[in-house]
Amino acid sequence: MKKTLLTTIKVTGYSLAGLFSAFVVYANLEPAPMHAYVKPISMTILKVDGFTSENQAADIRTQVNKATGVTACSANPASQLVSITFDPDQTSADNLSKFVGNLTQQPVQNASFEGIEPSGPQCPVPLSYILAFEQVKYAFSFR
Amino acid sequence: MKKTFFILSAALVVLMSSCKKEEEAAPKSLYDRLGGVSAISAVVDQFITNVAADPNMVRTFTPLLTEVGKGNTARLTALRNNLIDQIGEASGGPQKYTGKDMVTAHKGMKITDTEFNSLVADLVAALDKFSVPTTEKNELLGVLGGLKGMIVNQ
Repeated sequence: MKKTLLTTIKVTGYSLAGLFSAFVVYANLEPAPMHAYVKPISMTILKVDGFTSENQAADIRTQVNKATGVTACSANPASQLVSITFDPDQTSADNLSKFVGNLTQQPVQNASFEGIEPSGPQCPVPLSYILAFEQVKYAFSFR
Repeated sequence: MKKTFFILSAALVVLMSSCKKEEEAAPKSLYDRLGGVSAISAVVDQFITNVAADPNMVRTFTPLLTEVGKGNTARLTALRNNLIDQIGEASGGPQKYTGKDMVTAHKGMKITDTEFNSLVADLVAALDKFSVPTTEKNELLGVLGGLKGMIVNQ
């Protein structure tokens, strides 16, 4: 009984070590892509009621771009949307929503795109799983 | 012996300086002229925000915009990574685009000429924001413009 258990542990250990070695080899077949070295961003898209002129849009873009953690901002009066990409370590969607609200003195809410039929192929595997696998792979890349 | 040493040293100096001249003469790639990966990622971020606020792009980007609205940034990250790699590779950088080919990626999306032109206008606005010189801008747009046939009406 004890011998069988030891053999099972041994075989499992060797198998796991083999799989791990194979994964490390796989991770180092190619160098990690450059995007792996770029800091990840997050995004928020805000609907600002009553914002209709290009002057207001330019003012929003200028002020929001100066805010801490913002990497890019676009304000479009045609859609009344303000989209902002930001470093999630430095700011948050809530902070930016408040910032835009104070700036425009208009009601601000998260833009909703529900009800619009999605176009194109939809991947059956959630993208977050694929991205998590890629991150683990790059963590073991030594090239 | 001394003479031979001097001749060899002189030959080595001439050889090294000629190599240096060749290196200096090699034209910089579009990737280097654009400013490398950090400049490309800044342009890509601006491009993505332009697209997200563009009313002509809502239909095409609904899945991404809806997920961003729910706080899920997986699609955004995947798109950003692919754009950085694709623009980097197309401009002669060390990146390697590993995403789907353009026809497969846009299959069933039925992107119209108007939508494609709006996308190009959003990219031009992003390049203008960072004052990318006309030569570099046209070179990049020329490379990406070649993909139109693989994207529109798929």
